[in-house]
Amino acid sequence: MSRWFRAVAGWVRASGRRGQLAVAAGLVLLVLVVGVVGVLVAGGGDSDILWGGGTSATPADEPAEESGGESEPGQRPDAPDPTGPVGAPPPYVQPFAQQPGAKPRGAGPSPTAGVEIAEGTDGCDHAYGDRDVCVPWKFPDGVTDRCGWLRERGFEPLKITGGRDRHGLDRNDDGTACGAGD
Amino acid sequence: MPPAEAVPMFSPELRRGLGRLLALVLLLTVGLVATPAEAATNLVRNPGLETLGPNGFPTCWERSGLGDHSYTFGLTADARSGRRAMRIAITELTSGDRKAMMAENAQCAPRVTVGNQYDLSVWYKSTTAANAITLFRHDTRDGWQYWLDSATLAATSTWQRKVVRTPPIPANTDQITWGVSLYSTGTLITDDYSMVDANAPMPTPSGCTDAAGCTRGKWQVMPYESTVRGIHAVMLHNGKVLLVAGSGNDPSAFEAGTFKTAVYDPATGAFTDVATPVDLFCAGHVQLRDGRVLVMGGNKDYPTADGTVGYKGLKDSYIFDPATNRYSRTNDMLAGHWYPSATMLGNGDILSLGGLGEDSTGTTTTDYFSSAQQRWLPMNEVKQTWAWWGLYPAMVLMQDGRLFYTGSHTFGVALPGSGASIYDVGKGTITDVPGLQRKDERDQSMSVLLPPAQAQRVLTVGGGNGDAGATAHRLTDVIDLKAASPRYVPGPPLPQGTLTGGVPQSGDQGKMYVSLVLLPDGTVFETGGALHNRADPVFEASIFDPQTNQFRQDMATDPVPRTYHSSAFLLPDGRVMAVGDNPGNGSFDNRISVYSPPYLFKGARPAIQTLARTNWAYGSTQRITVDSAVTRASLIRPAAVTHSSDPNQRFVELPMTVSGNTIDLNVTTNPNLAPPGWYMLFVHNANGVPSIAKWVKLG
Ligand SMILES: [Cu+2]
Repeated sequence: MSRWFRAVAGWVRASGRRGQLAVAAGLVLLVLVVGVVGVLVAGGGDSDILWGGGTSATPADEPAEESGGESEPGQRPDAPDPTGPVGAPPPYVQPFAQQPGAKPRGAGPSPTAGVEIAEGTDGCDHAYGDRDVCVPWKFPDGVTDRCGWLRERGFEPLKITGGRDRHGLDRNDDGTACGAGD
Repeated sequence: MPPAEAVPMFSPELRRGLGRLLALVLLLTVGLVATPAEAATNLVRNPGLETLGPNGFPTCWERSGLGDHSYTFGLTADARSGRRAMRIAITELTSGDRKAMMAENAQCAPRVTVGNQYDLSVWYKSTTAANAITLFRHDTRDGWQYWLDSATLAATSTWQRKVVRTPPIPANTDQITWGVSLYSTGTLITDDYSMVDANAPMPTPSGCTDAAGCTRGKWQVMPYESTVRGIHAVMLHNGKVLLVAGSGNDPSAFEAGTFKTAVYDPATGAFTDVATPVDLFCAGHVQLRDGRVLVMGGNKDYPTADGTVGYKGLKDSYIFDPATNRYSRTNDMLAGHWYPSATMLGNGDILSLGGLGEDSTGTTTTDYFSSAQQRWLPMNEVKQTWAWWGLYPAMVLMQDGRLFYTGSHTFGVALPGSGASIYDVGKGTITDVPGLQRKDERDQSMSVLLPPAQAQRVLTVGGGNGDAGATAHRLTDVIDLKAASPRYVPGPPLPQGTLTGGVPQSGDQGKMYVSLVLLPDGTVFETGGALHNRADPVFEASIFDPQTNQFRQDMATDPVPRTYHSSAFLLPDGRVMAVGDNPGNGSFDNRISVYSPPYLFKGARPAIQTLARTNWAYGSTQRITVDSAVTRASLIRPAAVTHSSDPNQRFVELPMTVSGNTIDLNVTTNPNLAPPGWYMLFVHNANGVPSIAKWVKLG
């Protein structure tokens, strides 16, 4: 049956717009005639005539409604306002990431001072050169020739401005790190 | 005489049989006439809810919902067709929802094909507007999970039909279920569900207009340089780019009081100087709901050479107005912030955390800017946790209004604990989230809320540790904030590129100073970065696909090194702009590069031809017309980026209701998914080719 239907449908599809219109018009007529006869013939018959094979349960057999909820009316002043027919929809938020069992930290004590930040937090030893220059606070592992490493990366000789030479870049002690004699 | 018995024309059996036959012919005929082109199959089992199971509930349907509320849930004879419809009434609600869902099992849940799109349709009546079409998907690896809420159903006392198209079915999905969630007090009746394959266009391999371009994309370095050091970049809703330098990490400019800002027009290459009142170098910034830019903090002073005093943070704050190209001062923050975070909340307010204070110690004061009052709130109106959040802590707004601290930050080691956490601003509580790899080497990593925002997944990429001289790694971590107990899980390793001189990266080498840019096709462009603290640029770019959780490697690389003080961001024409580079020798690269992703070499672009409104409300439906078939629409928040940090960056899915080239876009009801403000509206076609954006203002 469905093969027959598909064949006809395929033929209709293939027959072009004018053909489809003609077929459609013919079919509408056919539908009317068949429908009227069908209703006359079946009149007074089973109510499941069109939907045969379905369930025979009727709305009278409905299961008891499920219901739930335990909160008492009027006890939750923080509940969101119900939105009436003309209102905009409220935000729909999902109950994700509730982290059951995880322990939240609350507020700490009000501090008397900010958090102490160790020197070199921007990764630079600002004792070398102007403060826009960033000689690493710690050179990457494996760097043995520090001045060579800096030179390769476009650093000029650096005046020691901070009164110390943590990296030993001023071997001739002339106040310039990675200068001519270093 | 007994009355003659009425003789039936036909026996009852024959009558019934004939009736059935004729009815069948009628049905077939109607089907043939109504759908001459396609016999669309309704994939929903028991779509009219007429067939009941042994429990008296419609087969292939189940009661669902969570939360604290009083409700009734059952069938009603008030049906649109047949004899039954589903009725849910919530009489009192504190939280949660109720919904009838298609049963999550192999027989009942509609089967789907990856990449296809489906038109979902339901008839309904409701006394409230709080109804959402909620979708779940079955992941072949991870099982059933929430997908998204695709549409909101307006209140109606007569039967109405709502149709919405799914986004393309994500990878690893074999079935979906859906239903209508009622999430307020009210009564919802639904009936006659349907789900049909939308026969949306599928990707075609044709249309490549440039062999290299359509596989790797292309970079162009502008023939001019920026007039200011592009340390901070904000994509303005007038199509121009705000570039903020302040002193630009140049102490002599600081001494001279020379602070710079420029408005750059990518269309003309023009730069307009903006008078800059204080040193906004390493300030925080975020777009307000009206499109002006709130800038907070900045540099009060450079460190002393002997190391006794570090950088000091300003508590000044300014609002930049794109209409006048001027800064105007707000009240001061409670504390100084050099390197503060700036995250917009769902109500349009701004939260700013961390950074260094006026005395160069770490600021533990939470600063809160009220959108309604247009001012920073006084101490007694801000809930303080006194937590130390570090510098530029990446705080991503979650769908329930809490903040996810991704663990991405600037400078030094991680915070104590697991290095990532969920911060409940309202309650003032912080809960650690496990799983972040090498949390102490996340200095100038980057995190991004993956597309779409509805998926609530965050990707964190790379990072190093400048203080420790660490070599940047190639770790990535992904977290699904939909989970009950979210935890980071390792993602695929960052692809490797080359170092100066073309030396290939090896081993665990990755990068810090990395940039992640959300693209309008729902992928993430990853570019720029360096191997070491302000040294050793890495030339590598890739595209992360959130559907497959994989990087498409070997994208074209920016010819300009992009390390410290560099940023990349999306332009409204779908290209990506990159600015800034500030290596350790103190130089600064003012070149501007622009990347055209592969999708710009894949044939004609769809266009948004008309836009009914530019002011959009949450939960609304917005009509556009397009010139050709498109598969997806989105809102992308314009960038406000610095130091690999733009926690407000997001791609918000706009599920479509499609009628030819007229498309209704279903806007989320939840401002936490899309905080108020200007957005770039994009559509793209089946090949991922995006339109040029139209600007819309949400909320
Ligand atoms: Cu900086």
